[in-house]
Amino acid sequence: MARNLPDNGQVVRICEIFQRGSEELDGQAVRVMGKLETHDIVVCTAELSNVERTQNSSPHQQLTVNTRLIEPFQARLGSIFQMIGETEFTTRGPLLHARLVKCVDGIDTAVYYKVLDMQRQYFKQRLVLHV
Amino acid sequence: MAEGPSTLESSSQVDNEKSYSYLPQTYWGLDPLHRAFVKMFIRDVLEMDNYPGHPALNVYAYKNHPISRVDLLGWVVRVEEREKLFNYAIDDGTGVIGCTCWKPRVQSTTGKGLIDDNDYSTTGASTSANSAEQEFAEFLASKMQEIKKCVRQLRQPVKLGDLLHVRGRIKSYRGRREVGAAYFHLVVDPTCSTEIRRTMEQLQLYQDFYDVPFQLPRCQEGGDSSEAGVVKSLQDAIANFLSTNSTVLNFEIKELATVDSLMAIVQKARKENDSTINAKQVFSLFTRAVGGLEELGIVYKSDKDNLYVVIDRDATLESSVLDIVRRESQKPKYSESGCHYRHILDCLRTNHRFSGVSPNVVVHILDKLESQSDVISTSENYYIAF
Repeated sequence: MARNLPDNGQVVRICEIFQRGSEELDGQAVRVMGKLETHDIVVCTAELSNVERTQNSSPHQQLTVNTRLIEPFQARLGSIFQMIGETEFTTRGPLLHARLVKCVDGIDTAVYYKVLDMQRQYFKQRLVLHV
Repeated sequence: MAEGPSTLESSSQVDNEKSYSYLPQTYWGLDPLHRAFVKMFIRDVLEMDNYPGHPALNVYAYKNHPISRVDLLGWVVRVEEREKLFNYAIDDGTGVIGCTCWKPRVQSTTGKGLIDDNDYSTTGASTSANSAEQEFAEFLASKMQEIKKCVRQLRQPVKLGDLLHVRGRIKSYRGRREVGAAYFHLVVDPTCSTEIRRTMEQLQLYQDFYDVPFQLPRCQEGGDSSEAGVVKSLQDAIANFLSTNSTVLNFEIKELATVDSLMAIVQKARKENDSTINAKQVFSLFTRAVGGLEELGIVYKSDKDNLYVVIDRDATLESSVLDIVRRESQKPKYSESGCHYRHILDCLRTNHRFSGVSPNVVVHILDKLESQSDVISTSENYYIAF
Protein backbone atom coordinates (compact mmCIF):
# COMPACT_ATOMS: atom_id res chain seq x y z
CA MET A 1 0.00 0.00 0.00
CA ALA A 2 2.57 2.47 1.06
CA ARG A 3 3.96 2.93 -2.37
CA ASN A 4 6.25 5.82 -2.83
CA LEU A 5 4.87 8.82 -4.58
CA PRO A 6 6.65 9.99 -7.69
CA ASP A 7 8.95 12.96 -7.35
CA ASN A 8 7.55 16.35 -8.13
CA GLY A 9 8.20 17.57 -11.63
CA GLN A 10 10.34 20.62 -11.15
CA VAL A 11 9.34 23.21 -13.72
CA VAL A 12 12.27 23.94 -16.05
CA ARG A 13 12.89 25.40 -19.46
CA ILE A 14 14.24 23.15 -22.16
CA CYS A 15 17.38 25.24 -22.49
CA GLU A 16 18.00 24.92 -18.76
CA ILE A 17 18.20 21.13 -19.07
CA PHE A 18 21.09 21.59 -21.44
CA GLN A 19 22.69 24.31 -19.33
CA ARG A 20 22.45 22.64 -15.96
CA GLY A 21 23.74 19.34 -17.25
CA SER A 22 23.78 15.84 -15.89
CA GLU A 23 25.20 16.52 -12.42
CA GLU A 24 22.20 18.50 -11.40
CA LEU A 25 19.38 16.95 -13.30
CA ASP A 26 20.25 13.33 -14.12
CA GLY A 27 17.35 11.15 -13.02
CA GLN A 28 15.39 14.10 -11.72
CA ALA A 29 11.72 14.62 -12.45
CA VAL A 30 11.06 17.72 -14.49
CA ARG A 31 8.13 19.47 -16.12
CA VAL A 32 8.94 20.97 -19.49
CA MET A 33 7.00 22.74 -22.15
CA GLY A 34 7.79 22.69 -25.83
CA LYS A 35 6.56 22.52 -29.36
CA LEU A 36 6.29 19.05 -30.83
CA GLU A 37 8.65 18.93 -33.81
CA THR A 38 8.83 15.26 -34.65
CA HIS A 39 7.08 12.17 -33.41
CA ASP A 40 7.72 8.55 -34.30
CA ILE A 41 5.18 6.21 -32.81
CA VAL A 42 7.08 3.07 -33.87
CA VAL A 43 10.22 3.76 -31.88
CA CYS A 44 8.36 5.95 -29.36
CA THR A 45 10.44 9.09 -29.65
CA ALA A 46 9.52 12.69 -30.07
CA GLU A 47 11.33 15.98 -30.08
CA LEU A 48 10.29 19.13 -28.27
CA SER A 49 11.67 22.53 -29.14
CA ASN A 50 11.80 25.68 -27.09
CA VAL A 51 8.85 28.04 -27.47
CA GLU A 52 10.20 30.97 -25.55
CA ARG A 53 11.33 33.88 -27.66
CA THR A 54 14.21 35.38 -25.74
CA GLN A 55 17.76 36.14 -26.59
CA ASN A 56 19.39 33.50 -24.41
CA SER A 57 17.32 30.58 -25.61
CA SER A 58 18.57 28.90 -28.70
CA PRO A 59 15.78 27.63 -30.92
CA HIS A 60 17.96 24.79 -32.14
CA GLN A 61 18.00 23.01 -28.81
CA GLN A 62 15.62 20.14 -29.14
CA LEU A 63 14.83 17.80 -26.31
CA THR A 64 14.44 14.17 -27.21
CA VAL A 65 11.52 12.51 -25.48
CA ASN A 66 10.90 8.85 -24.92
CA THR A 67 7.13 8.55 -25.24
CA ARG A 68 6.83 4.86 -24.40
CA LEU A 69 4.75 5.57 -21.26
CA ILE A 70 2.37 8.07 -22.77
CA GLU A 71 1.44 6.46 -26.08
CA PRO A 72 -0.94 6.92 -27.64
CA PHE A 73 -1.46 10.65 -27.30
CA GLN A 74 -2.87 13.26 -29.64
CA ALA A 75 0.50 14.06 -31.11
CA ARG A 76 -0.25 16.86 -33.50
CA LEU A 77 2.98 18.28 -34.87
CA GLY A 78 3.35 21.96 -34.08
CA SER A 79 1.19 21.80 -30.95
CA ILE A 80 2.58 22.87 -27.60
CA PHE A 81 2.85 20.18 -24.95
CA GLN A 82 3.74 20.10 -21.30
CA MET A 83 5.34 16.89 -20.10
CA ILE A 84 6.39 15.53 -16.75
CA GLY A 85 9.02 12.87 -16.67
CA GLU A 86 12.46 11.77 -15.59
CA THR A 87 15.57 12.94 -17.38
CA GLU A 88 18.37 10.71 -18.47
CA PHE A 89 21.66 12.01 -19.82
CA THR A 90 22.83 9.80 -22.64
CA THR A 91 25.86 10.17 -24.82
CA ARG A 92 23.68 11.85 -27.40
CA GLY A 93 22.35 14.42 -24.98
CA PRO A 94 19.49 14.61 -22.52
CA LEU A 95 16.50 12.32 -22.91
CA LEU A 96 13.16 12.74 -21.18
CA HIS A 97 11.19 9.67 -20.17
CA ALA A 98 7.81 11.33 -20.19
CA ARG A 99 5.12 9.87 -17.97
CA LEU A 100 2.51 12.60 -18.27
CA VAL A 101 1.57 14.73 -21.21
CA LYS A 102 -0.83 17.57 -21.70
CA CYS A 103 -1.58 19.65 -24.74
CA VAL A 104 -1.59 23.35 -23.85
CA ASP A 105 -2.19 25.03 -27.20
CA GLY A 106 -3.03 28.68 -26.68
CA ILE A 107 -0.93 29.10 -23.56
CA ASP A 108 0.51 32.53 -22.88
CA THR A 109 4.14 31.48 -22.86
CA ALA A 110 5.52 34.81 -21.78
CA VAL A 111 3.33 34.97 -18.69
CA TYR A 112 3.96 31.32 -17.92
CA TYR A 113 7.71 31.83 -17.75
CA LYS A 114 7.38 35.15 -16.02
CA VAL A 115 5.39 33.55 -13.23
CA LEU A 116 7.93 30.74 -13.08
CA ASP A 117 10.68 33.28 -12.55
CA MET A 118 8.64 35.07 -9.91
CA GLN A 119 8.09 31.81 -8.05
CA ARG A 120 11.78 30.91 -8.16
CA GLN A 121 12.69 34.39 -7.02
CA TYR A 122 10.28 34.04 -4.10
CA PHE A 123 11.74 30.70 -2.96
CA LYS A 124 15.26 32.01 -3.31
CA GLN A 125 14.48 35.09 -1.30
CA ARG A 126 12.87 32.98 1.41
CA LEU A 127 15.99 30.85 1.70
CA VAL A 128 18.10 33.96 2.06
CA LEU A 129 15.84 35.28 4.79
CA HIS A 130 15.90 31.99 6.67
CA VAL A 131 19.64 31.43 6.67
CA MET B 1 11.38 13.05 0.70
CA ALA B 2 12.79 16.53 1.10
CA GLU B 3 15.65 15.89 3.43
CA GLY B 4 17.70 18.94 2.54
CA PRO B 5 15.10 21.64 2.93
CA SER B 6 13.60 20.17 6.10
CA THR B 7 16.88 20.23 7.99
CA LEU B 8 17.28 23.74 6.76
CA GLU B 9 13.87 24.62 8.20
CA SER B 10 14.76 23.31 11.63
CA SER B 11 18.09 25.09 11.74
CA SER B 12 16.41 28.32 10.81
CA GLN B 13 13.81 27.83 13.53
CA VAL B 14 16.20 29.19 16.13
CA ASP B 15 16.51 32.33 14.12
CA ASN B 16 12.83 32.77 13.60
CA GLU B 17 11.83 32.21 17.18
CA LYS B 18 12.99 35.72 17.92
CA SER B 19 10.63 37.36 15.48
CA TYR B 20 7.47 35.54 16.55
CA SER B 21 6.18 33.29 19.27
CA TYR B 22 3.90 30.29 18.93
CA LEU B 23 0.37 30.70 20.14
CA PRO B 24 -1.27 28.71 22.91
CA GLN B 25 -4.09 26.57 21.62
CA THR B 26 -6.73 28.85 23.13
CA TYR B 27 -5.81 31.63 20.76
CA TRP B 28 -5.58 29.61 17.57
CA GLY B 29 -9.06 30.65 16.58
CA LEU B 30 -7.96 34.28 16.45
CA ASP B 31 -5.71 33.55 13.50
CA PRO B 32 -7.87 33.59 10.38
CA LEU B 33 -5.59 31.05 8.72
CA HIS B 34 -6.40 28.40 11.30
CA ARG B 35 -9.75 27.48 9.83
CA ALA B 36 -9.31 28.80 6.33
CA PHE B 37 -8.31 26.67 3.37
CA VAL B 38 -4.81 28.01 2.90
CA LYS B 39 -3.57 28.11 -0.68
CA MET B 40 -0.10 26.81 -0.02
CA PHE B 41 2.53 25.36 -2.27
CA ILE B 42 2.60 21.59 -1.84
CA ARG B 43 6.25 21.75 -0.82
CA ASP B 44 5.30 23.86 2.18
CA VAL B 45 2.50 21.50 3.13
CA LEU B 46 5.00 18.65 3.22
CA GLU B 47 7.67 20.60 5.07
CA MET B 48 5.60 22.18 7.79
CA ASP B 49 6.26 20.89 11.29
CA ASN B 50 3.61 19.88 13.74
CA TYR B 51 2.56 22.84 15.82
CA PRO B 52 5.03 23.00 18.70
CA GLY B 53 3.54 21.55 21.87
CA HIS B 54 0.70 19.78 20.10
CA PRO B 55 2.22 16.85 18.22
CA ALA B 56 -0.94 14.75 18.34
CA LEU B 57 -3.21 17.24 16.65
CA ASN B 58 -3.27 17.57 12.91
CA VAL B 59 -2.29 21.20 13.13
CA TYR B 60 0.87 22.41 11.52
CA ALA B 61 2.94 25.51 11.85
CA TYR B 62 3.79 27.77 8.97
CA LYS B 63 5.65 30.60 10.67
CA ASN B 64 3.43 30.72 13.73
CA HIS B 65 0.18 30.21 11.86
CA PRO B 66 -1.68 27.14 13.08
CA ILE B 67 -2.71 25.57 9.79
CA SER B 68 -5.05 22.63 9.48
CA ARG B 69 -6.71 22.99 6.09
CA VAL B 70 -5.25 23.59 2.67
CA ASP B 71 -6.44 24.39 -0.81
CA LEU B 72 -4.32 22.77 -3.51
CA LEU B 73 -4.25 22.69 -7.27
CA GLY B 74 -2.06 20.41 -9.29
CA TRP B 75 -1.62 17.76 -11.93
CA VAL B 76 -2.81 14.29 -11.06
CA VAL B 77 0.28 12.08 -11.18
CA ARG B 78 -1.16 8.92 -9.65
CA VAL B 79 -4.62 7.46 -9.51
CA GLU B 80 -5.75 4.65 -7.25
CA GLU B 81 -9.36 3.67 -7.05
CA ARG B 82 -10.90 1.80 -4.16
CA GLU B 83 -14.44 0.83 -3.49
CA LYS B 84 -15.23 3.98 -1.55
CA LEU B 85 -12.47 6.40 -2.37
CA PHE B 86 -9.87 7.60 -4.80
CA ASN B 87 -6.28 8.09 -3.88
CA TYR B 88 -4.88 10.80 -6.08
CA ALA B 89 -1.39 12.20 -5.96
CA ILE B 90 -1.14 15.76 -7.16
CA ASP B 91 1.89 17.71 -8.29
CA ASP B 92 2.05 21.49 -8.48
CA GLY B 93 5.70 21.70 -9.50
CA THR B 94 6.94 22.16 -5.94
CA GLY B 95 5.91 18.86 -4.40
CA VAL B 96 3.68 15.82 -4.60
CA ILE B 97 1.06 14.98 -2.02
CA GLY B 98 -1.52 12.24 -1.77
CA CYS B 99 -5.20 13.16 -1.53
CA THR B 100 -7.92 10.92 -0.23
CA CYS B 101 -11.05 11.79 -2.12
CA TRP B 102 -14.15 10.00 -0.89
CA LYS B 103 -16.71 9.08 -3.50
CA PRO B 104 -20.01 10.76 -2.85
CA ARG B 105 -22.35 8.46 -0.96
CA VAL B 106 -25.43 8.55 -3.16
CA GLN B 107 -27.16 5.49 -4.52
CA SER B 108 -27.08 6.26 -8.19
CA THR B 109 -29.32 3.31 -9.04
CA THR B 110 -31.42 4.40 -11.95
CA GLY B 111 -34.66 2.92 -10.56
CA LYS B 112 -34.72 5.17 -7.53
CA GLY B 113 -33.90 8.17 -9.65
CA LEU B 114 -36.84 7.49 -11.91
CA ILE B 115 -39.29 7.23 -9.03
CA ASP B 116 -38.01 10.52 -7.70
CA ASP B 117 -38.46 12.18 -11.04
CA ASN B 118 -42.01 10.84 -11.33
CA ASP B 119 -42.85 12.07 -7.87
CA TYR B 120 -41.98 15.62 -8.77
CA SER B 121 -43.84 15.63 -12.04
CA THR B 122 -47.03 14.04 -10.66
CA THR B 123 -47.33 16.51 -7.83
CA GLY B 124 -46.98 19.21 -10.40
CA ALA B 125 -49.62 17.67 -12.68
CA SER B 126 -52.27 17.04 -10.01
CA THR B 127 -52.43 20.71 -9.16
CA SER B 128 -51.76 21.81 -12.67
CA ALA B 129 -53.80 24.95 -12.15
CA ASN B 130 -50.98 26.28 -10.13
CA SER B 131 -48.31 27.09 -12.66
CA ALA B 132 -45.86 28.33 -10.11
CA GLU B 133 -45.90 24.97 -8.40
CA GLN B 134 -45.38 23.32 -11.73
CA GLU B 135 -42.45 25.53 -12.40
CA PHE B 136 -40.99 24.77 -9.03
CA ALA B 137 -41.35 21.05 -9.62
CA GLU B 138 -39.51 21.39 -12.90
CA PHE B 139 -36.85 23.42 -11.23
CA LEU B 140 -36.41 20.75 -8.57
CA ALA B 141 -36.24 18.05 -11.20
CA SER B 142 -33.59 19.91 -13.17
CA LYS B 143 -31.59 20.59 -10.01
CA MET B 144 -31.81 16.92 -9.17
CA GLN B 145 -30.49 16.07 -12.60
CA GLU B 146 -27.64 18.48 -12.14
CA ILE B 147 -26.67 17.01 -8.80
CA LYS B 148 -26.81 13.51 -10.21
CA LYS B 149 -24.64 14.51 -13.11
CA CYS B 150 -22.16 16.06 -10.73
CA VAL B 151 -22.13 12.98 -8.53
CA ARG B 152 -21.66 10.75 -11.52
CA GLN B 153 -18.69 12.87 -12.55
CA LEU B 154 -17.15 12.72 -9.11
CA ARG B 155 -17.46 8.94 -9.05
CA GLN B 156 -15.50 8.70 -12.28
CA PRO B 157 -11.77 8.61 -11.77
CA VAL B 158 -9.89 11.52 -13.29
CA LYS B 159 -7.14 10.77 -15.76
CA LEU B 160 -3.43 11.16 -15.23
CA GLY B 161 -2.35 14.63 -16.17
CA ASP B 162 -5.69 16.25 -15.38
CA LEU B 163 -5.73 19.33 -13.23
CA LEU B 164 -7.38 18.69 -9.87
CA HIS B 165 -8.51 21.22 -7.29
CA VAL B 166 -8.59 19.82 -3.76
CA ARG B 167 -9.56 21.33 -0.46
CA GLY B 168 -9.29 19.49 2.78
CA ARG B 169 -7.61 18.81 6.07
CA ILE B 170 -3.99 17.89 6.34
CA LYS B 171 -3.51 14.57 8.10
CA SER B 172 -0.92 11.95 8.64
CA TYR B 173 -1.57 8.48 7.34
CA ARG B 174 0.99 5.77 8.01
CA GLY B 175 3.68 8.30 8.59
CA ARG B 176 3.00 10.19 5.43
CA ARG B 177 1.31 13.52 5.11
CA GLU B 178 -1.76 13.66 2.95
CA VAL B 179 -4.94 15.62 2.45
CA GLY B 180 -8.37 14.32 3.32
CA ALA B 181 -10.42 16.08 0.73
CA ALA B 182 -13.60 17.84 1.75
CA TYR B 183 -13.98 19.00 -1.82
CA PHE B 184 -12.35 17.94 -5.03
CA HIS B 185 -13.06 18.95 -8.55
CA LEU B 186 -11.60 18.45 -11.95
CA VAL B 187 -10.49 21.75 -13.48
CA VAL B 188 -10.69 22.12 -17.22
CA ASP B 189 -7.73 24.26 -18.16
CA PRO B 190 -6.70 23.76 -21.78
CA THR B 191 -4.48 26.83 -21.99
CA CYS B 192 -2.94 26.53 -18.54
CA SER B 193 -4.29 29.95 -17.58
CA THR B 194 -5.87 28.72 -14.35
CA GLU B 195 -2.56 27.34 -13.18
CA ILE B 196 -0.69 30.52 -14.06
CA ARG B 197 -3.21 32.72 -12.32
CA ARG B 198 -3.19 30.43 -9.35
CA THR B 199 0.58 30.68 -8.89
CA MET B 200 0.45 34.45 -9.13
CA GLU B 201 -2.30 34.56 -6.53
CA GLN B 202 -0.32 32.28 -4.24
CA LEU B 203 2.77 34.45 -4.46
CA GLN B 204 0.71 37.46 -3.52
CA LEU B 205 -0.98 35.64 -0.65
CA TYR B 206 2.33 34.41 0.69
CA GLN B 207 3.78 37.89 0.67
CA ASP B 208 0.79 39.62 2.15
CA PHE B 209 -0.48 37.10 4.66
CA TYR B 210 1.20 33.74 5.07
CA ASP B 211 4.70 35.08 5.56
CA VAL B 212 3.52 37.67 8.04
CA PRO B 213 3.61 36.08 11.50
CA PHE B 214 0.40 36.30 13.41
CA GLN B 215 0.42 38.61 16.37
CA LEU B 216 -2.12 38.55 19.11
CA PRO B 217 -3.97 41.84 19.12
CA ARG B 218 -3.14 42.25 22.80
CA CYS B 219 0.57 41.82 22.16
CA GLN B 220 0.43 44.32 19.37
CA GLU B 221 -0.80 47.03 21.68
CA GLY B 222 1.57 45.73 24.37
CA GLY B 223 4.23 48.38 24.98
CA ASP B 224 2.70 51.76 24.35
CA SER B 225 -0.90 50.67 24.41
CA SER B 226 -1.43 51.03 28.12
CA GLU B 227 -0.55 54.66 27.59
CA ALA B 228 -2.49 54.96 24.34
CA GLY B 229 -5.45 53.34 26.09
CA VAL B 230 -5.31 55.91 28.88
CA VAL B 231 -5.13 58.74 26.35
CA LYS B 232 -8.14 57.32 24.53
CA SER B 233 -10.25 56.98 27.67
CA LEU B 234 -9.12 60.40 28.78
CA GLN B 235 -10.11 61.84 25.43
CA ASP B 236 -13.58 60.28 25.68
CA ALA B 237 -13.94 61.55 29.22
CA ILE B 238 -12.99 65.11 28.22
CA ALA B 239 -15.44 65.05 25.32
CA ASN B 240 -18.11 63.82 27.71
CA PHE B 241 -17.20 66.50 30.25
CA LEU B 242 -17.39 69.26 27.64
CA SER B 243 -20.76 68.16 26.33
CA THR B 244 -22.32 67.90 29.80
CA ASN B 245 -20.96 71.21 31.08
CA SER B 246 -22.38 73.65 28.58
CA THR B 247 -20.95 76.66 30.38
CA VAL B 248 -17.40 75.74 29.42
CA LEU B 249 -16.59 77.87 26.40
CA ASN B 250 -12.86 77.43 26.52
CA PHE B 251 -10.31 75.81 28.76
CA GLU B 252 -6.66 75.38 29.47
CA ILE B 253 -5.05 72.02 30.01
CA LYS B 254 -4.08 73.03 33.53
CA GLU B 255 -7.73 73.59 34.29
CA LEU B 256 -8.68 70.14 33.04
CA ALA B 257 -6.33 68.60 35.57
CA THR B 258 -8.44 70.08 38.34
CA VAL B 259 -11.53 68.14 37.26
CA ASP B 260 -11.92 65.15 39.57
CA SER B 261 -13.56 62.80 37.09
CA LEU B 262 -10.68 63.25 34.65
CA MET B 263 -7.96 62.90 37.22
CA ALA B 264 -9.61 59.70 38.42
CA ILE B 265 -8.80 58.08 35.08
CA VAL B 266 -5.16 59.03 35.40
CA GLN B 267 -5.05 57.73 38.96
CA LYS B 268 -6.61 54.45 37.89
CA ALA B 269 -4.03 54.02 35.15
CA ARG B 270 -1.31 54.71 37.64
CA LYS B 271 -2.57 51.98 39.96
CA GLU B 272 -2.84 49.45 37.14
CA ASN B 273 0.65 50.08 35.90
CA ASP B 274 2.16 50.27 39.38
CA SER B 275 4.11 53.30 38.35
CA THR B 276 4.33 56.84 39.51
CA ILE B 277 3.24 59.56 37.17
CA ASN B 278 4.66 62.99 37.68
CA ALA B 279 3.00 66.25 36.81
CA LYS B 280 4.83 66.49 33.53
CA GLN B 281 3.53 63.09 32.40
CA VAL B 282 -0.01 63.99 33.42
CA PHE B 283 0.29 67.14 31.40
CA SER B 284 1.50 65.20 28.35
CA LEU B 285 -1.37 62.72 28.70
CA PHE B 286 -3.86 65.56 28.73
CA THR B 287 -2.14 67.29 25.83
CA ARG B 288 -2.34 64.14 23.74
CA ALA B 289 -5.98 63.61 24.63
CA VAL B 290 -6.84 67.19 23.73
CA GLY B 291 -4.80 66.81 20.55
CA GLY B 292 -7.08 63.91 19.65
CA LEU B 293 -10.12 66.10 20.22
CA GLU B 294 -8.54 68.75 18.04
CA GLU B 295 -8.19 66.24 15.23
CA LEU B 296 -11.81 65.24 15.62
CA GLY B 297 -12.83 68.86 15.20
CA ILE B 298 -14.30 69.32 18.68
CA VAL B 299 -11.87 71.94 19.98
CA TYR B 300 -9.29 74.25 18.46
CA LYS B 301 -6.28 75.97 19.84
CA SER B 302 -6.61 79.71 19.95
CA ASP B 303 -3.80 82.15 19.46
CA LYS B 304 -3.47 82.65 23.20
CA ASP B 305 -1.14 80.12 24.75
CA ASN B 306 -2.69 76.83 25.77
CA LEU B 307 -6.23 78.08 25.50
CA TYR B 308 -8.50 75.64 23.74
CA VAL B 309 -11.90 76.74 22.49
CA VAL B 310 -14.91 74.47 22.21
CA ILE B 311 -16.07 74.82 18.65
CA ASP B 312 -19.77 74.30 19.10
CA ARG B 313 -19.91 77.21 21.55
CA ASP B 314 -17.76 79.64 19.63
CA ALA B 315 -20.13 81.86 17.69
CA THR B 316 -17.36 84.01 16.23
CA LEU B 317 -15.70 81.07 14.53
CA GLU B 318 -18.95 79.98 12.99
CA SER B 319 -19.83 83.45 11.79
CA SER B 320 -16.30 84.02 10.47
CA VAL B 321 -16.51 80.87 8.39
CA LEU B 322 -19.93 81.85 7.11
CA ASP B 323 -18.65 85.34 6.24
CA ILE B 324 -15.74 83.87 4.36
CA VAL B 325 -17.92 81.52 2.36
CA ARG B 326 -20.32 84.36 1.52
CA ARG B 327 -17.51 86.68 0.52
CA GLU B 328 -15.66 84.10 -1.55
CA SER B 329 -18.83 82.99 -3.28
CA GLN B 330 -19.19 86.52 -4.69
CA LYS B 331 -15.90 86.15 -6.54
CA PRO B 332 -16.33 85.03 -10.13
CA LYS B 333 -13.82 82.26 -9.60
CA TYR B 334 -16.01 80.51 -7.03
CA SER B 335 -19.48 81.70 -7.94
CA GLU B 336 -20.14 78.69 -10.15
CA SER B 337 -18.82 75.68 -8.32
CA GLY B 338 -18.20 76.98 -4.82
CA CYS B 339 -14.86 76.96 -3.05
CA HIS B 340 -12.92 74.13 -1.50
CA TYR B 341 -12.84 73.92 2.29
CA ARG B 342 -9.04 74.16 2.18
CA HIS B 343 -9.41 77.60 0.64
CA ILE B 344 -11.79 78.58 3.40
CA LEU B 345 -9.23 77.30 5.90
CA ASP B 346 -6.53 79.46 4.33
CA CYS B 347 -8.74 82.54 4.54
CA LEU B 348 -9.64 81.72 8.11
CA ARG B 349 -6.02 81.32 9.17
CA THR B 350 -5.18 84.82 7.95
CA ASN B 351 -7.09 85.95 11.01
CA HIS B 352 -4.56 85.76 13.80
CA ARG B 353 -7.09 84.49 16.25
CA PHE B 354 -7.84 81.39 14.22
CA SER B 355 -4.29 80.61 13.11
CA GLY B 356 -4.28 77.29 14.98
CA VAL B 357 -7.47 75.91 13.48
CA SER B 358 -7.12 72.43 11.95
CA PRO B 359 -8.78 71.38 8.67
CA ASN B 360 -11.15 69.02 10.46
CA VAL B 361 -12.52 71.93 12.44
CA VAL B 362 -13.50 73.73 9.27
CA VAL B 363 -15.14 70.59 7.89
CA HIS B 364 -17.01 70.20 11.15
CA ILE B 365 -18.24 73.80 11.06
CA LEU B 366 -19.19 73.62 7.40
CA ASP B 367 -21.21 70.48 8.13
CA LYS B 368 -22.98 72.31 10.90
CA LEU B 369 -23.64 75.35 8.72
CA GLU B 370 -24.93 73.11 5.97
CA SER B 371 -27.34 71.43 8.32
CA GLN B 372 -28.57 74.91 9.30
CA SER B 373 -28.99 75.68 5.58
CA ASP B 374 -26.52 78.55 5.77
CA VAL B 375 -24.22 77.09 3.15
CA ILE B 376 -24.74 74.64 0.31
CA SER B 377 -22.22 72.02 -0.70
CA THR B 378 -21.96 72.00 -4.49
CA SER B 379 -19.86 68.86 -4.63
CA GLU B 380 -17.71 66.95 -2.20
CA ASN B 381 -15.61 69.41 -0.19
CA TYR B 382 -16.91 72.43 -2.17
CA TYR B 383 -19.21 74.95 -0.52
CA ILE B 384 -21.12 78.03 -1.59
CA ALA B 385 -23.34 80.55 0.19
CA PHE B 386 -25.66 83.35 -0.95
